[in-house]
Amino acid sequence: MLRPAPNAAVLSVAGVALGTLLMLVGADFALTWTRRLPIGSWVAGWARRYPLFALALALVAGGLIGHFFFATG
Amino acid sequence: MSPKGPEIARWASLGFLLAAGGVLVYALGSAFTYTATHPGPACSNPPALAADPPQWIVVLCCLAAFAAGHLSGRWQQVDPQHLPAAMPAAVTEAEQRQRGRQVLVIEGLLLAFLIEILALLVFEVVALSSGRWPITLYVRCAYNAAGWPTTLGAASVTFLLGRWLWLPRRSSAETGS
Repeated sequence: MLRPAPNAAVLSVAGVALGTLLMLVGADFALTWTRRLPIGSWVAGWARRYPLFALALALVAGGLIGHFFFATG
Repeated sequence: MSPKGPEIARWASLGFLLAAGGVLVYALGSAFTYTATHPGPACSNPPALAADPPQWIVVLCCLAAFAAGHLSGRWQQVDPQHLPAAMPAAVTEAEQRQRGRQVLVIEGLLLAFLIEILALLVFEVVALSSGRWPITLYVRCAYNAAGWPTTLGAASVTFLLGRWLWLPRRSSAETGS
């Protein structure tokens, strides 16, 4: 049977994952507040310039979300 | 959409972003507080699948948040002077430096996102290879121990993904409306 990881490891990963998201939220909030293009528009521009990279990134992000959130076993 | 629509969407975006940030801070604070005061996980091993609210409600909340994220980003108002089509070509050295800084910021954000994915994958590989819980079991454990806060956290993450990764139509991206 699998065992839980040490608390320090779990907290480190949670800190990195949620901390990065928080940083991006702060940046998006600042861009929206100053009426500049939000992060999504920059990502869209980047994705149209590099469609294969964007496809790979979307597959990885989708796979991770499914892997983390969709547990049926 | 009426002329006031993009402005309303902008304020909705700001409100949703604040809410999502608040939920993420709360989730992070709860995780730190719990693990600092308890030696073990907050659920059984392995965590049970059933909890309150039922999973279909969680899925519906996440789908609604994903759509809300997309719509808030697609409809929000952008100052026309910041649109790519309205920007004149950078001629002076100062303008070129400023454009370079903007590109650097965006590439930095993308790099941060990739580093986050890398950190999650490294943890997953190390955990599974050493007989530890994968991340999905921590998510299920959080859902088991605190169903509604976890649902809000998952909805916040899907809202942000819908806002950042669901591409608008080309005309919307170019006009910002």
